[in-house]
Amino acid sequence: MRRIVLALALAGAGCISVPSVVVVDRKTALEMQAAGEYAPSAAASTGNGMSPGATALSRATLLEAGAESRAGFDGLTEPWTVFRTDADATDELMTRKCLGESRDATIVERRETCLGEVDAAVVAGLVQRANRAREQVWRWLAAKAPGRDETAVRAAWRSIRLDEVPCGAPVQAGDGRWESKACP
Amino acid sequence: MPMNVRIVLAMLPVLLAAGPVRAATAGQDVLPEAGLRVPVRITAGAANQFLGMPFPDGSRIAFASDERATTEIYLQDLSGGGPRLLFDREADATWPRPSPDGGRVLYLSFREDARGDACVFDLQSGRHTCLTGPSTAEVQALWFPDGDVGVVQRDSLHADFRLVRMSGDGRNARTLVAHSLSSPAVSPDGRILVYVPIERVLPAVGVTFAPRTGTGLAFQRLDRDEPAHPWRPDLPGALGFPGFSVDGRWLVFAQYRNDTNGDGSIDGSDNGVVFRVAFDPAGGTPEAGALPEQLTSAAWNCQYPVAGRDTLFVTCSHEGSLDVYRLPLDGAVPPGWDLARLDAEVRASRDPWERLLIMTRAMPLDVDPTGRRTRLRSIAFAEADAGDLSSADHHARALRRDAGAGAPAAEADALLELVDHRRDEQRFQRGAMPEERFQALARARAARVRALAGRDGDAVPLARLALSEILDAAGDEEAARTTFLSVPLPSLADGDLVRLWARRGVELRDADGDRAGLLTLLGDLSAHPTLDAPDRLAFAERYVAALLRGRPASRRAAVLAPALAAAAPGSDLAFRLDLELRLSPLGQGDPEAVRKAVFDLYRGTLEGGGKDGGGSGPDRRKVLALATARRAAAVDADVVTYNFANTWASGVKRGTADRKTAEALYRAVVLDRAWGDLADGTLADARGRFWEVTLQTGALEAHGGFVEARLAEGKDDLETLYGNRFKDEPYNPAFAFMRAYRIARDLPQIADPGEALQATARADAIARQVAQARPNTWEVHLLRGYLAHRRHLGTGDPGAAVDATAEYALALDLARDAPRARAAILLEAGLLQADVGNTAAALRHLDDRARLPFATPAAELAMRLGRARCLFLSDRDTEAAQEADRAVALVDAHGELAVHRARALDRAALYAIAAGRPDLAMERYARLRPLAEAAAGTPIGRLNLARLDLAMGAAALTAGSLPDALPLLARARQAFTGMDALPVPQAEFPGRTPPPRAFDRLDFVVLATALEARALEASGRLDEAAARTDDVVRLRSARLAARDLDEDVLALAEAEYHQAATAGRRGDIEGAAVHARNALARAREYAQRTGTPFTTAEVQALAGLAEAHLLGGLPRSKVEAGLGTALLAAHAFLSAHPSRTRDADRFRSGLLAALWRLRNADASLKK
Repeated sequence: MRRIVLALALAGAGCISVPSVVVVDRKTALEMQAAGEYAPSAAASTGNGMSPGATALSRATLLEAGAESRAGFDGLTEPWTVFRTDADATDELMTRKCLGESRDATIVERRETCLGEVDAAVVAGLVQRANRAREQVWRWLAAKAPGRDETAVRAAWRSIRLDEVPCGAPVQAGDGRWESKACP
Repeated sequence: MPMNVRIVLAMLPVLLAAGPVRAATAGQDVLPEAGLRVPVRITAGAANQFLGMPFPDGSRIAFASDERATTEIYLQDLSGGGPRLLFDREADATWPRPSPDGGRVLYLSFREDARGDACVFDLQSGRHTCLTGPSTAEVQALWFPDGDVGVVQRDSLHADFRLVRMSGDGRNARTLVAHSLSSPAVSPDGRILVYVPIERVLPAVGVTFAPRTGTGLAFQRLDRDEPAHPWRPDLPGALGFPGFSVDGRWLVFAQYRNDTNGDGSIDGSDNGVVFRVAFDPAGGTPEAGALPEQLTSAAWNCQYPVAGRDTLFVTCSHEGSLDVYRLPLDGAVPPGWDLARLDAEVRASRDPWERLLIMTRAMPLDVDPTGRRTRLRSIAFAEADAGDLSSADHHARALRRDAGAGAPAAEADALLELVDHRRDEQRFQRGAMPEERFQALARARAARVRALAGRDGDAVPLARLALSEILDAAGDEEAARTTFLSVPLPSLADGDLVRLWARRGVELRDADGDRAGLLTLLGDLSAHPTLDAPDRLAFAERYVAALLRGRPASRRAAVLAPALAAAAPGSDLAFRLDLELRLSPLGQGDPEAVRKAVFDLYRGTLEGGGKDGGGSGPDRRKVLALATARRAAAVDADVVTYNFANTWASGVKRGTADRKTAEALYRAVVLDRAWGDLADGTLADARGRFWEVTLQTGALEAHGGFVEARLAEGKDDLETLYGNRFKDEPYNPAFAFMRAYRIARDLPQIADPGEALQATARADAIARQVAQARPNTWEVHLLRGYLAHRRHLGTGDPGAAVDATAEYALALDLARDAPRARAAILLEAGLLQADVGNTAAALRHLDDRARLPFATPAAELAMRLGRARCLFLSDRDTEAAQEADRAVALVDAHGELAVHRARALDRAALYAIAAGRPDLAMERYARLRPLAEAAAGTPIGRLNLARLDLAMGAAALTAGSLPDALPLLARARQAFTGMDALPVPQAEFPGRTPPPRAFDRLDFVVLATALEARALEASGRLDEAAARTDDVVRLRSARLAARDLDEDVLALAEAEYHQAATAGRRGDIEGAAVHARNALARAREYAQRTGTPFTTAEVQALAGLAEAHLLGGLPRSKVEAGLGTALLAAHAFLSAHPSRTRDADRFRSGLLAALWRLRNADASLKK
C-alpha cells in the first residue's frame, strides 16, 4: 500500500486546510487519523452477526413494518381468474390506496398513499378509461333527468357509488380531506 | 507456506470426501415437476450480463458484461462462484465465442478500431490476435467446426453486410454470403449455414440504420453449390438468433412472438420467446411439417439461445435485470405432461403468458382436428384478453383460412374485426389516435360486424358480442346494451364465448353501477352447463365479491343468508355463499366455531366424489381452502388460516396442477407461524412446524428453520434425525443442505482460523452439490454467499468477495417475495460491500435493509454502524452522524450490546465532527473517555487514548473551546512523542493479516503539534504557536531528508506556509514573506516532481506573499518576481478546473490578482 501524505485531514474538518493530495480519500484519511481501534472490530461484528439462513421474524412484525402486505397473501389465495376487467383492477388499486374516490366523483391517483409498486402508464390509462365511462353514465343520467345540472347528477351518482367502494379505500370528504372508507 | 496454498491443501480432503448429491428420485422428498420449469439464473449483479456462450466441455460460460462501464468479457464456472474477467484491455470487447477446442475465445474488439475487429484470445498464452483491420467494421463472428472463423462485416457506414470466412489466423478470407445478414450459425457437421436475411428499407440508407429483418431464415448448404433455402415458421412476429443443437437435430431461435408491451406491433421492443424446431440434417432445413415448440414464456424476455450439451443457455431480461440463464434443452414445459395435465395447468395458472405457453404446447397434442381448431380459437381469445393483439390477429387469420363459408367464416371475420378494434383502442389510449377518428372507425366497423351477426340466416353470437363492444366504444351505450341482450346466455355452447359474454355483461353492469343486474348475470354464469367447475366457481366467487363489495362486516350475514336461500341447492353458487356465510363471523366471534363450521362444509365436499374423486369436490375444496385462508388471515385468525392451508395441502396429490398452489399457501402460512414461534421463543412449536413443512414441501428454508429451532432447544441430534429420515437416500439434497447449513452456522464458534477455513471449505463443497440439485432456491445461494463471505473475512481474498457478491445477488433475485430471506441477504451483502469499500453498492443494500425489521439488536447495530460509515465515506455527514447516534441509542437500550459501546461512541463522535457538530462530538468523546482509560493498559489502548485526546482536542478547537482544546492537544502530542512506534494493528478478523498503517507515529506527532499551534494561535499565544509551527517544519524537514518522497515535499510546503501565516499574525511581515517564499519554492518543487501545478500550498504561498506586499506594506522588491502573473495564472487554472474544495483558493487568488492590478503597473496584467 502506498503511503499517503500526512494531510491534516482531521484539522481540515475544523480550521486547517484540507489536504491537496491524498492517495486514500480525505474521509478515509480522517478515519485513519481520528477513529479508535476498539474491539470488537466491524468485521468481527459482521462475522458474529451473519446468518446462513433467513431472519426469524414473525408475520406480525413484518406486517407492522410494511415489509409484507396482505395484498400479496390475497394474490396467493385467489383461486382462478376467468377474466379481469378494469373494475377489478380499479378495486385492487383502491384497496392498495393507489386510487381514490374524489369529491367530484372521479377516480384520482393517490401516489402519496400507494402501497407497493404500480405501473404508472397502466394506472393512468385505467383512470382515464374509468372516468370516461363515468362521464358517459352521467350524460345518460342527465338526459334521463332533465333540469338537473351536472353537479347534481354527479352528486347523486356518487352517493350510490360510495356504497360499492372497497373497504379501506381512500375517499375524499367534502372539505377536501382524504379518509379511508370505514366498514365497521 | 503461503495462505492460498494452505487453503487449497486444506480443501483437498474435503473435495475428495464430499459425496455426490442427487436430485431426489423417490421417497417422501421426491419433488416431481410441480409446475413449469423456470429459467435458472447463472450470472448476477447490478450490471447487465449477456450473450452467454458455453465452452464445448460444458464446464463454464463466456459472457459479456458492462459491470465496469465498458463492455468486457467474463468467464464463469457453471458449478458456482463468481465471474472472472477474461482480460483487461481497457476497451470494449463483446460477442465472446469459445473455440471448438475450448482453447481460444473469438470476440469483437473495439480497442484499435471503433467500428469493431474480430480477434482471438488464446487462453493458455494470453495472446490476442486480431483477424480483421480498420478498413472493415465487424459486428458478429462465429467459429466453424474445423477452426475457421466467420465474420459479419461491412466496408462503410451505409454498405451492406456480408459473411466472410477465413482461417483461424485470419488468412484465406473469402466471402460466403454476399448480401446483408445477421446472426449466422453453422451446423455441428459444418455442412449447413443458417442466418437471418436483412433487406434495406430505403436504397440510400444502409441496413445498419434502416433494416427490414426477416420473418424467416435462410439455410445455405456449405457442402454443395445451391441457392439458400428460405424457411418461415407459422408464428406471429419476427425471429432471430438461430443456432443448432449439439447433435444437429434441433434448431433453436428467438421469436418476438407476442405484443407484450401492447404497442400494437411485434418487434424487438417486445419480449423475446425461445423456440426450437426439429431439424433434418440431410435435407438441410427444418423437418417438413414440424411445428416449432415454445421453450420459454413471454413473461420472460429471453434471447440469444444457445443449445449446449445438455442445457439451453439464454440471455433474459427479467424484472429489470439482464442476465444469462439456463434451462433444460426441452424448455419450460416438462416433457412428461400429457394433454390432460397441460389442460389442468392452463386452469391452474395465474399468469396469462404462462397460460399461452401451455396452451400452445397442448394444441398439437390434440389428435382431434376439431379439438385443435377449438384450441387455436382459445389461444386467439387468450391473446386478445392479454392484449397481445398482433398474435391474436395471426391466429384469427389462421382460423379464417380454414373456416370455409357460412357461420364459421362469419365468426372468424368477427374475431378479426374484434381484434382489430381492440388494436385501434390501444392506439387511442396511447394517444396515437384522436377520439373522433377512433369513434368513426368504430362506427364503420360496427356496420360491418352487424352484417356478420346474422349472415346466411345463422346467428353468430361472437359477432353480436363483438358488435356490443364496438358500439360501446363508439359511444352508443344503448345499442351496445341491446345487442348484448340479444345473445341469450343459454344459447352459448362453448366456454370461450361464455367468457366473452360474461366479460361484456360485467363491463356493462359495472358501468351502470347496476349491482342487482350484475348479481343476476353472475348467478347465471355460475350455473352455466358449458363451463367446467373452476369457471363456475370463479363466477360464484365474483358473485360473492359483488354482493359484499362495500358492505360492513356486521351486515354481511344479513345479505348472504337470503342469497343462499335463493340459490339452487347443491349448486356451486350455493356452496360458495354457504362458505362465505360460515366465514362471516370471523373477526367478531370465536374463530374455533368458524373453523368447525367451515370444516363441516369441507367434509361435505369429500362425500360422494371421494377425496380426489369426481364432480367438483377437489375444486370446491380449493376454493374453500383459499377463501378461508384469505378471510382468516385478514383478521389474524391464525388458527383457522393454518388449519385449512394444512388440510388442503394434505389432500392435494403431489404432481398435480394444484399442488404448486397448495404448497405455496401451506409454506406461506405454516412457515409464517413457525418463524413467529421461533421469534417468540416457542421452540417446540417452531420445531414441529418447520418439520411439517419439510415433509409437506421439502422447502430448504424449513430445514434451516428446523436446525435453528432444534439447536435452540438445546438438542444436538440433527445428524441422527436426518440420518433416520433419509436412510434410504443418503445423498438427498435436503440432508446435504442441513449438513452444510449446520457447519456454516457454527463457524463463528470455531476459534482457530485455519480450522474455520477448513470447515468453510467443507460446507461449501456440500453446498455446491445442493446448488446443482436445487439451483433455483435462494436458501442455497444465501448459504454459499455466507460461506464465501466468511472466507473473505478470514483471508481478505478479493476472489471470495466476488463469489459472495454473485451468490448474494442470485439469492436476492430468487427471494423477491421472501422478506425474511431478504432481511438476511441485504444485511450480509451490504456489509460485504462496505468491507470491500464499495460504498454505493453497500448503501443500496443497507438502505433496503433498514426498511425491514430486525430480529436482534446485534443485527441492527451491525447495519447501523456499517451504514453510518458508508454515509460518512459518501460525504453524507449529517446522515452518518444521525445513523451513528441511532447505533449509540441501540447500545444504550440493550445491555448485551455494551461491548460495542466504545466503537459506537467513537464513530458517532467522528461523524459529528464531519457533520459540523463539534459540540455533539465532544459530548460523545466525554462518554467514551472512561471506557478508553479503562482499556489503556495495552499498546492499542494507549494509542486509542492518545487518539481520543487528539480528536477531542480538534473538536474543541473547532467548537472554539480553546481552554479544553489546549491541554488535550498538548497531551496528545506528548503521548505520540513518547511512543517508540505505533503498535501493530489488531487483525480485523481472526486469522486475517492486518493491513499496514497508513500513518506512522511521526505523522501523529506532526498532526498533534500542528493542531496545538493552531489552538495556541487562536488563544493569542503567538510566540508559543510559532515555536510549535517551527517544530512541525523541523519534523517535516527531517522526514524529507530521510525519505525524499514527493508527499513529504508537499507536506513541508504546507508547514512552511503555516509558518508564514503565524509570522504574519505576529506582525513579522518580513519573516512571513521569507517563510512564504520557502513554501512557494517547495510547492513548485513538488509541482515539478509530480506535474501537479497550483496545489493549495502553492496558491496559499502566492497569496501570502501578495498579502504581505499589498496589505502588509512589504516593498515589492521583497516579494517574488512575477508574482502578479503567477497569481493570475493560479486563478485561471482554478477557474478552468473548478472544484468545490478549491473555491476559497480561487476566490482569494482572484481578489488579490485584481488588487495587484490596481496597485501595480505590472505589464503582464495590462493585457
